[in-house]
Amino acid sequence: MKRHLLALVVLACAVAAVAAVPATAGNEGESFVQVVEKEYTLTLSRQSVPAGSVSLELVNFGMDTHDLVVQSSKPGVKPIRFKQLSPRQRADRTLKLKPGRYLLWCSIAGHRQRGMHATFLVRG
Amino acid sequence: MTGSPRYDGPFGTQQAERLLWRAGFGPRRGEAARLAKLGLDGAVRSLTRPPGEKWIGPSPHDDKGRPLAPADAYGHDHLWWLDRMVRTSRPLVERMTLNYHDWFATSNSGVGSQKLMLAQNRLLRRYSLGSFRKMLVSITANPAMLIWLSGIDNRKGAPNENYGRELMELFTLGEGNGYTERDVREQARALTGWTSTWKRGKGQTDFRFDASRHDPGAKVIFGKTGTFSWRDSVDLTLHHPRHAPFFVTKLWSYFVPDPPDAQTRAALETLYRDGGFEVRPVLEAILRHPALYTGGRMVKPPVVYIAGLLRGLGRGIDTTAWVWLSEGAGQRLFYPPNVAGWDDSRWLDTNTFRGRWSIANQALAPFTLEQKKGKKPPKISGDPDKIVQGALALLGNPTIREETRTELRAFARASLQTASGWKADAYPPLVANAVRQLLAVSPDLQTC
Repeated sequence: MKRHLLALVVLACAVAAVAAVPATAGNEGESFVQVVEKEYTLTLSRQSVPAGSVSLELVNFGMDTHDLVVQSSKPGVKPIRFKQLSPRQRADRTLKLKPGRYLLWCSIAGHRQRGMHATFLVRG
Repeated sequence: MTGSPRYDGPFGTQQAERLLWRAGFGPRRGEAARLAKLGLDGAVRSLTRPPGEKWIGPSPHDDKGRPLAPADAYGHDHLWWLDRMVRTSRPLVERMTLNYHDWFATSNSGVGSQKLMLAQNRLLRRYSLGSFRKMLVSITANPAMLIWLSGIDNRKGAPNENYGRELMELFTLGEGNGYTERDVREQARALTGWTSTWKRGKGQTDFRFDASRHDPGAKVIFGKTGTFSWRDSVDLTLHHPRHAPFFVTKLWSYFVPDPPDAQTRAALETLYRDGGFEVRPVLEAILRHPALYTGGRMVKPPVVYIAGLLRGLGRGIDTTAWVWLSEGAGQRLFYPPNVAGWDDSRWLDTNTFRGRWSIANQALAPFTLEQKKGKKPPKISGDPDKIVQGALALLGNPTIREETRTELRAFARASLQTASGWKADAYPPLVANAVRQLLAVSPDLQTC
């Protein structure tokens, strides 16, 4: 009887795992950029990407909490905000970015002034 | 000829299978039988002197079907390398790259740049079967290593001992083996001069040797006096009498669980020294040694276990789940726990074994036999022998002990004992799924 139960538990796990494997859907036009934050630096895995869909990932390699603001240098464009991340946490968002220069910084008090800012180019 | 004992027993599928696991990531379907036909020497040479690389199997992608971005997305570095392990036609090159990643353990947790970690990975691969001297020279000046062990902070007047200490303790001699604290301090002085430039947004760039930061004064290392440079530092450790024994014993430990006997060690040391620090001849002697084929089994490191399952199943990298699953089993590539590398004794503890169970579950998931809504269950024979045979076939027909086969068969038989009526069709697929899982996590497949 125990063995029957084991078999069914195994099956349940297997089915759950199948459900966790999403269907694939080709999406090759997307660019990836990783932003690594620590005290008190902000580094990007690449300095520019083509305009369009950009997967922007924030990784906190520091010992303090950090967040990220992405702001187009063009006036009137609403900034994009990443929530605060604890050490070792990460977050990513897929953004539709238009050509132009973007400013990135950590908005936690004092962090930008200590050096946690950078610029980033989206090419037309 | 080499002085190192040579295996002269039968070289069949079982021996070829072990060779492919120890010197790679296990066989694909039919690969062990093909390798066995080459004989021991032919099989070893096919691994140590492989032709140009070919990629076998589907291209990798993440859960959304996107190509991997190893330098730009968290976890994609791990997936990128795991994919190489799964699809490569040069498994020993990749396995030695992994061994050197443990030997010269550098973690991105301290480097903070997947791009620099990938550059170091290319370096490890370039010299994986070649000259250990070239490897050591290159790794000493490697940007990821210069950040990780404070090489860029090591300058005249303010020496930093991190790299000098590990150079001897972990990379070339062994802890406290033939050097003193004074040697550590003097090595640090010899290694001064490396620097880089910090650029906002880019991080550390332009890694270079700056003579003005180097301490040109006289140093005393291993009792020798000279105005030693960083290259001298490397050569002094390589020519230290304790280096060759350390090197061959450490290299051996990646392939055979018990240490080499005195005769073997001496022969390997001679091969290494006389060969001018070339790794390939030593590797060939280890891979032909009787201890590899007749000795005890080794626990597969988690990434080897994962890559091997995928190779056996013919499945490629199609999910980012491998990142956290591998981490759960104790091995996240590019993030070794510390500068001493991974602790092999933790590969199969109660915590990491749970991770391995999940790995097997994930690997087998796309092959799960399940009843579709409104349809009959998939037709699977209720014969316990056939169920076990089917599980073995799915996993590439690995060799297992008769004891394991008997256990699996008994499990299938007991599970199907009450399968009459509607259960006669419904139970066999459930039992087949369970047998696959139990086979994948069995000691036979966790070790090689």
